[in-house]
Amino acid sequence: MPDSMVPQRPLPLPDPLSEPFWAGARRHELHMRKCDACGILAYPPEIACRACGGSEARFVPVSGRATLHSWTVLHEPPSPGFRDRLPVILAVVELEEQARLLMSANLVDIAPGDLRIGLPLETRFEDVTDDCTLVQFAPAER
Amino acid sequence: MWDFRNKVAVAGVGYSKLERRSDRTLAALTLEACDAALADAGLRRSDLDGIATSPAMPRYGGRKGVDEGIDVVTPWYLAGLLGRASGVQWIGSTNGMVTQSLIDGALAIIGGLCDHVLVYRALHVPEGRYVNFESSHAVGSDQYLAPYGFSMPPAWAAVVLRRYFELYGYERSDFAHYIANNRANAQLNPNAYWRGKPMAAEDYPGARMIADPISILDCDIPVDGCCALILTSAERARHLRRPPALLTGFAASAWQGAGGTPMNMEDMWDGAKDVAPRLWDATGMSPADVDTAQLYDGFSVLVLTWLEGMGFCRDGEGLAFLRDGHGDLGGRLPINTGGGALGEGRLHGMTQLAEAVAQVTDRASERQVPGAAHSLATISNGLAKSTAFLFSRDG
Repeated sequence: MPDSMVPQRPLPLPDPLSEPFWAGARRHELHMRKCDACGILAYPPEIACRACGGSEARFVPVSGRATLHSWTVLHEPPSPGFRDRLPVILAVVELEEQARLLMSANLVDIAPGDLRIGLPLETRFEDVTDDCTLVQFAPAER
Repeated sequence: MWDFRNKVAVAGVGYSKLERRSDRTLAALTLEACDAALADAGLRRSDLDGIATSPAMPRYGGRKGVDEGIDVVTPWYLAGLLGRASGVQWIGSTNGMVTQSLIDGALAIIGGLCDHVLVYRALHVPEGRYVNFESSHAVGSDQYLAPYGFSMPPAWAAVVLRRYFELYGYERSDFAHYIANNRANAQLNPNAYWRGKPMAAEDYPGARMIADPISILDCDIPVDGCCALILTSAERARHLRRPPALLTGFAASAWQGAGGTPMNMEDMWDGAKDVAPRLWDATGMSPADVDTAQLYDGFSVLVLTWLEGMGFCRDGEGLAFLRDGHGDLGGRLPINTGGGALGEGRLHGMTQLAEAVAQVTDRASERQVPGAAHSLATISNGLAKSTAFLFSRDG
């Protein structure tokens, strides 16, 4: 089947709130929305700060360093675009900047048997199309 | 304590047949359950003056909740089907869970808006897969999940159970006793989808994996069907056909927790631990007063976080409690005595409510916890939209 017929994974459709996050990803940078008033980072980006209710916030770059909070391994495709990507490792990672600052992503460059809570991770940016880059994670190299 | 403690009661319970895919419409199944609940209470359709539900169809990806009578039954539509379009005084509809409708209905009775409220939940199994994210783009909160394949609730629950196993040193085999025993409870429940299909603990480790470590036996089965309750004042209920199940109190969660993943263990505990003291304050009770607990089990792991969050076990000790049989009928705290949603089918919390009612009214036949005076029912995962109720025996 030609490439154009291979089903794609669902791709993010940025909205006004998320556009700076995805624009950062396209530049291979991880950005989080930070509350001006209390400094708490939010992911996904929020209209107002859930910690203090502050409504002024800006995107700031973060390190991309994280640890593995938990994971699951899928052996069947969660949607048609994953048919050729099995098994899929779905991970929840905790960024080093803040406790319970969690992100969902796939883990790459690691076998399911090597997963453990607390494993040091770093971002791997996956350019899917010209306009879309996904934020993935892999074991930290140092 | 809540001023209206034990002033509202469940006076009747009704079920439609629960089937994987029914050849009847969802509207017909809903009418079957509503008429059964009315008959149980000894009431007629003409007595109904309040109706409440959460009509949403919880599908992920694909089309959902668009055809009245087929995949949704809204309370306005149901009022017409029941011939009560002009008789109903109050209608409640929520985008929380149906358990929020029970709270709304109780408050409508206390507020004098109506006398007999029907609270029902009708659920339909769609064509194809329940979770079927086939769209090419993901919008809103899905944009942070679906591109990674994180679009199905079993996977959300799986990361919670995985973390629980890893942090406290358990493995899947530790859940086998509870899962098999729960199925045994379902054998004693005439409404249960899995009645007539027992399983052994040995069947659990090899069960088909949906999202490791969540297997098919850790997920409630989606069914076509409906369960309905009749709420009225305790005073009126005492003159009806069945003994009333008194609503002693309730508490609801608005705990959002961390974003980035729909469920995480720590926030589920924190949400439950936010609900728990408010429930005990409202009711004047404590975990020691609970004779049997109906803990939401749309996924098996939720039983653990509720058991711990509500104060029955310390964090991480819930699975040992279940593994050692303390949650069995005859155990220290019989849990999900009718088989829960894992045994009965997916009714989004109605299972837990109906079983709590059955236990405090001595209507649970072979699965009755002798003399059960108080039954807890907790619904959802501890995060926002979750609820906890305490039902008590009259007199």
